[in-house]
Amino acid sequence: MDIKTLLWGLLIGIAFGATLSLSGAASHRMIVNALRLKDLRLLKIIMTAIAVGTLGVTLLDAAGMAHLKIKPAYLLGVALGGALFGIGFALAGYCPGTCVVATAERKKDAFFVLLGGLLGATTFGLLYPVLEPVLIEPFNFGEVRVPNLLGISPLTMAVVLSALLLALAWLLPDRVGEQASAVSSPEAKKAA
Amino acid sequence: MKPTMWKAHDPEEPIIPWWLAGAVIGLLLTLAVAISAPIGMSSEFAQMGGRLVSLIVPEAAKNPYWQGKLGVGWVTMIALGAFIGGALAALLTRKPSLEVPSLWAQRFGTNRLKRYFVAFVGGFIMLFGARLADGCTSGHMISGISQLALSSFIFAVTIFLTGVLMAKALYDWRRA
Repeated sequence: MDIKTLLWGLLIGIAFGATLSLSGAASHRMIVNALRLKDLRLLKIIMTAIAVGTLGVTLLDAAGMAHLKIKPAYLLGVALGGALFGIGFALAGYCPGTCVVATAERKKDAFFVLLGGLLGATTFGLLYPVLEPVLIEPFNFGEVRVPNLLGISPLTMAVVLSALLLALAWLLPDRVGEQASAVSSPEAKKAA
Repeated sequence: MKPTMWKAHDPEEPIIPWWLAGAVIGLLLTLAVAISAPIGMSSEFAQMGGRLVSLIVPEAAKNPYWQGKLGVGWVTMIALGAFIGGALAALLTRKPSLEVPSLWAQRFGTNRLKRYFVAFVGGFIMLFGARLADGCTSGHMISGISQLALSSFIFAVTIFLTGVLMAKALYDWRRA
């Protein structure tokens, strides 16, 4: 990979990390309250990101300028991995990207998520030769895209999906229920 | 915007609104796909681990999972950049450091070791799952769904199901 591309990667990473920090996405409380469905702001960030990203990526692809990397659909491994990820996500209160950003923000617990994550990812790497034939090779449908399955054009699906996600992000409230606001604002906590 | 700026003193509250953050992340992803590849994060955990293991056991680099992938690549730079970007943003907004997250402290107390232990275990399970599924919130959910990949829709649904259940079980079901 040439140095210019690597520098672009670094710049995009810096902007990405700064955005995660400024938006509160690297906050344990915002992440856990999102999973508790009490503070929906993080979900709204993700929905907007996917809406804009889907349109951008699909338009790039239509122009023949996209470097896509479609993840293969091996049902067992993806579903089991996703299930484990969700459990770890709720325990950790940070995701892999936000634990890096939160560590940089000097949130001490995020550093332990990062260390545990290093060990977890390394353990998977070491076990890969054993796990591959069991969880990755079976039911592997390859690089499947949903519009191909549905028989519609990617652009049609991108427009519909983006519109739906933007509408949902716009309509959903920031917070649900009373407990969330009590938990989310330090002023309210002091008053209690 | 004044009240929002004030909240900058709470390290767990946002400074910019959700729609701005979402739009910027979507545009960064588009830029990344135009230049080289989507934005990812979790593969760098495995690569970093592979580099460390192969320092001690050189044969580990021959593992098919790591072979030829241990060099500095696109995701290495994204991860390094994310760290720098997070540090810069925290510095410029004078974000205070944090020992134990507020919600955790409210529910499980302020014992640091207890929190750091659960954080470590959570990180282990999460990254093991991410590598098994071949991605995380950035690479699979945001980048993957943006490419309309079937795999990423499955991933998003499963992490949402177990993530919500686990968070509810931890913070809402049992009265601490």
